[in-house]
Amino acid sequence: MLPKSSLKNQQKVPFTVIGGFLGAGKTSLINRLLRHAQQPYAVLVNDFGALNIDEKLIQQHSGETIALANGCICCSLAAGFSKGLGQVLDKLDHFSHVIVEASGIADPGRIQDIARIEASLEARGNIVVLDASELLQQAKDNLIGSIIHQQIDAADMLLLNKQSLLSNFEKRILENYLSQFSCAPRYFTDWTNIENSQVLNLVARSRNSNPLLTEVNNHGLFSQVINSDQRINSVEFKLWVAQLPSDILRGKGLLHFTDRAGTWLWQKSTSQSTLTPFLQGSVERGCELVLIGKKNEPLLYNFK
Amino acid sequence: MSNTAKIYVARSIITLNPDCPEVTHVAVSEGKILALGTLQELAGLNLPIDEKFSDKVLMPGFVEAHGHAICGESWRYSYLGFDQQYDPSGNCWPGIVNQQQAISRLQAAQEKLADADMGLIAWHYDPIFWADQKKLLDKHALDLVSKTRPIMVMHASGHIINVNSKLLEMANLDESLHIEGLMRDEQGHLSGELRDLATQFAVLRVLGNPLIGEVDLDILQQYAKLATNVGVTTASELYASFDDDSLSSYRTAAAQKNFSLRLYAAQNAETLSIDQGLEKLQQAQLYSNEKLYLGSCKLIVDGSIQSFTARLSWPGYHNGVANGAWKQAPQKMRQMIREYHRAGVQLHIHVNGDQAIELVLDILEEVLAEYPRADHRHTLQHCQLASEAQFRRIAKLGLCVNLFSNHLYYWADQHCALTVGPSRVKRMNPAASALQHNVPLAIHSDTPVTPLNPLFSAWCAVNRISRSGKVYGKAQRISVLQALHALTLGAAYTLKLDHLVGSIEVGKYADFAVLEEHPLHTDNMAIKDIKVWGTILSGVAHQGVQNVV
Repeated sequence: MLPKSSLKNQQKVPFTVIGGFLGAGKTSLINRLLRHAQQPYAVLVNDFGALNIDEKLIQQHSGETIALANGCICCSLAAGFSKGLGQVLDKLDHFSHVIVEASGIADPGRIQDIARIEASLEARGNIVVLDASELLQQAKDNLIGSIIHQQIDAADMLLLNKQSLLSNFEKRILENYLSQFSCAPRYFTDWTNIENSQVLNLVARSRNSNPLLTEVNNHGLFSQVINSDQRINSVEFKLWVAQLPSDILRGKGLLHFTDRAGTWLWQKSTSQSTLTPFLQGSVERGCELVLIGKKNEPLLYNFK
Repeated sequence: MSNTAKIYVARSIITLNPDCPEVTHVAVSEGKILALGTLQELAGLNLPIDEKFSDKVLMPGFVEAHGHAICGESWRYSYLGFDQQYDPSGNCWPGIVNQQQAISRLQAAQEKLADADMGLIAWHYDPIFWADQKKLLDKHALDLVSKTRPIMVMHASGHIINVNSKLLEMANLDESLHIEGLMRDEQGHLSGELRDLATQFAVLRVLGNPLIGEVDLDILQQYAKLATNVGVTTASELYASFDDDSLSSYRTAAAQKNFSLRLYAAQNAETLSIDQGLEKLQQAQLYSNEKLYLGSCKLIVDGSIQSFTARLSWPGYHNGVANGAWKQAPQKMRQMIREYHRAGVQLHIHVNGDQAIELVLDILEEVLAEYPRADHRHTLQHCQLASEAQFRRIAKLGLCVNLFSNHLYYWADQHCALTVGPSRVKRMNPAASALQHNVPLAIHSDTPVTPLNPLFSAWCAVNRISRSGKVYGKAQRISVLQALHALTLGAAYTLKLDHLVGSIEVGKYADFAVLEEHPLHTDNMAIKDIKVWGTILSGVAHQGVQNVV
């Protein structure tokens, strides 16, 4: 055991979250990472039994694997998670990388926040593994659709797994579909065959500081983020708002107008829409909006 | 016959025993009911008569079939709830209704902390009921209590934490961070409110993980005291971990002679793989004894209605907010229910919203068709929004329900205005429907979510009156006797303990609640005010300490 003081001069330990729905291939990815590990990883998994990590693999690997709750570790601070992660943080100098496998319904973004707080960790982003053959069905599903959308939203990298089950045409449909809500790099893989360095050296996007994004993470409704570098005319904006369909329950956003100074906070409920000056300032020059609707399909309303 | 054998005489003894619903004398021997009836009927036993309770009313000891031992831990910390509550020593803590009262109570608590940098922890903060919504327990208010020691205030929901500047600093939470749940005030500065996993993980770690639901011997002893004070003789931990330390605490507590409670614990299945879970259950079952019942399993499907995390079917939440959250992916839930059922385990399944109930009914219908099992007694816990059609299926599938009637007092006004609206609030926790459909019915408090107090829970189910005095759902009211049944024998049935406790019958444990008044001869509105002397457990009297007004 290294003395605690040696931590001081050490570099921050990278922290990566692997998310994705059940059956997408998170297990395969973790097994692959372990198999090709050159340095000791701390791997926090949700469910040891279900993971089927080859025990030989763990023995050969000099890191540590800790089984965690198989529940939604993003929703629960039950003893299992608090303690498991606490143990890893207490002996962080043993590891070169911390990898957390989020549960199938967790929002990886919320887990990544831990690394943004903990001074000894460095946020290295969220890999979200998607089952390419099932994704379009899952995203439409009444029970889990919103979870899938939320995971895609949190991804710094999307791994579209089981690509060999798809035709080129189906891949293009999938690409087109995902490009509507995610600018994360996308890789088609088979059984997550991808290099460790590609997965573990991401740059975590900074969390958006704007108040608007907090509502996106609600389970159950469907949200779309609209980004634009451009300012917009305030009259045109109001016209655009008036045309929004009635199934949009909420809208929120920060805007810069061509004809009015400053940053504006837009808030819409089912019945009313308000614009108020946003005094906390914003470095962004353009507009960023979130629309939340009940429809179980992407909201294809082009902003401007 | 052991020397503890004797006859208790009481003003009346409510038995819930169909052969003799009410008697005046009960003979106990070896901790069990030996006989019950009139003095003449019992005279032949030649036992001494104990007249200690001759002016009191006895009934079967209450059974809390869905509680949490953490209520025994929470009284180590400062109570900030809106309603008055009694601690295990019987002290009454008046409700906290504004910022000034909260600050005063925290200051008083701080003076009792020996160490200058020891954390100050408080619980059950419930600001939605405060009249002045501008003066809450934000960072600035907590800094008035101390700027040098960490202060943490847990909300009543258990999902939000407020902290002072010192604790923000110790947990590395500063203004430069832009993360989920790190709340800010109107000026954009940190408010001290923490709403999500990462921030809460950081502060709980600084303070040594308080209030995360672990048990130790002292916590269980405090739980037993709280139980005795309100007439409960069997109580559950429905989210238990069967790790070695916890198991040892349960076993040690139950083995103590003066431990005045039978403990029932259902293993929280979330933290284990199914194989591990089954292995732990088998191990734990070996430790069961007459005061300790281990071996069933708890599953959580959705969240809670008041925090908008329950899964609702159409039309969803009344105020239009997003639907709630699954606690497990539905496919995973199907697998867990199937595997635990196949292994013969009894399941306690947390479902609040009607969509969550529907999912579980679909799963169980399929699983029971494939693996039929007599008398499985799987129980839907909370089950607050089950429709009539769902109750018909619940009955067909042989399920029990354990309803959360206390909601009707504490949150029905909010449920009416915000969560489910004026129509659906009328059938929340539909106890009358359960009985009409012949579904075995229990009623619980989910302590510490609402206080452990079965007579109060009975009052809620009988009257369905909210905090503001409104009646929600007259048609779902049940009689006092039906409510008492649901809180004793009905609750015992859902724990598979109905052959041992829950009614006064020969051969069952001599467990009683000792009341000062007769609940069946009391006005329906006054049931909650009946004073509790204490309990009798295995024939031995335990006096409570909650007679303070």
